[in-house]
Amino acid sequence: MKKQKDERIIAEINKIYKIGFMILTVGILIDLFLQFTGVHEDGDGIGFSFRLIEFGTFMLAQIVCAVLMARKGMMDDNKYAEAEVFPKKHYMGVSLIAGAATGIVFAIMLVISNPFVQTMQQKLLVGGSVSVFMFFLTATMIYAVYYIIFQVAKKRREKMYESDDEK
Amino acid sequence: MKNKKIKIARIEKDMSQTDLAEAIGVTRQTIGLIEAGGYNPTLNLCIAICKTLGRTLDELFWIEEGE
Repeated sequence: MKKQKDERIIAEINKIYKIGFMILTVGILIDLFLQFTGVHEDGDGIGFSFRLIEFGTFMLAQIVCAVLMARKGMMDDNKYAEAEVFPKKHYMGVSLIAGAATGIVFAIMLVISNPFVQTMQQKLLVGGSVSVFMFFLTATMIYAVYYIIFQVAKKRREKMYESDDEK
Repeated sequence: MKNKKIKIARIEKDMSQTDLAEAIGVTRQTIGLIEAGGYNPTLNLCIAICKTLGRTLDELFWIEEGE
C-alpha cells in the first residue's frame, strides 16, 4: 500500500516550490529576452554575461527555496519531514551522497581545466586528493547544516505549540 | 480559530497527538496545528480524523454562531 503523505507538508512545500518556479521563470525570461533582442555576450563590447544571469537565477531559486524550507524544518515531503528526533542515518546518507557527488565533480573539473595536470599519474593524484578532500568537507558541512536546521526548526515548532501541549 | 473539540475528543479517546497522527498518517505537527487553528484540513483529512476519533464531522468541525 502506498504510504499516505501529510497533506499540510505537501501544501506548504508546494507554495515554496511555486516561489522557486517563479524566480526561475522570470530569470530565464529576462535572459532569453536579452539574448533575442540582440545583446550579445562577446560581440558588442557591453560586457554582458548571460552566464551570470543564468547562474544567478539558478542560485537565487535554490537559496530562496532552501531557506524557506529550512525555516520550517522541511527539506522534503518524505517521512523525515518534521521528525521529532534527528534522523541521523537518513541525513548521514544524504550528506555522504552529496559529498561523493561534489568530490567527483570537483575532481573532474580540476583535472580537465588545469593545464599543469598532464600525465595520467598526475590526473589520478590530483583528482583523487581533491575528491577525497571535497568529499569529507562537503559531507561534514552538509550534515552539520542539516543538524543545525533541524534543531532550530524544532525549537520554532515547540514555541508554536507550547500553549497546546500533548494532553 | 482553535479547535478545542478535536482536542477534547482525542483526550476522551485517550490518544495523544502522536497517536492520532500515526493513525491518520500525518505528522504530529499537523494535528497540533489543526487543534491550534493554524491549519485548515481538507475534507479527506477531516473525515479521517472523525473516523479515528469515532465522531461525526458536525461534532468536530461545525462551528455555531458566536462560538
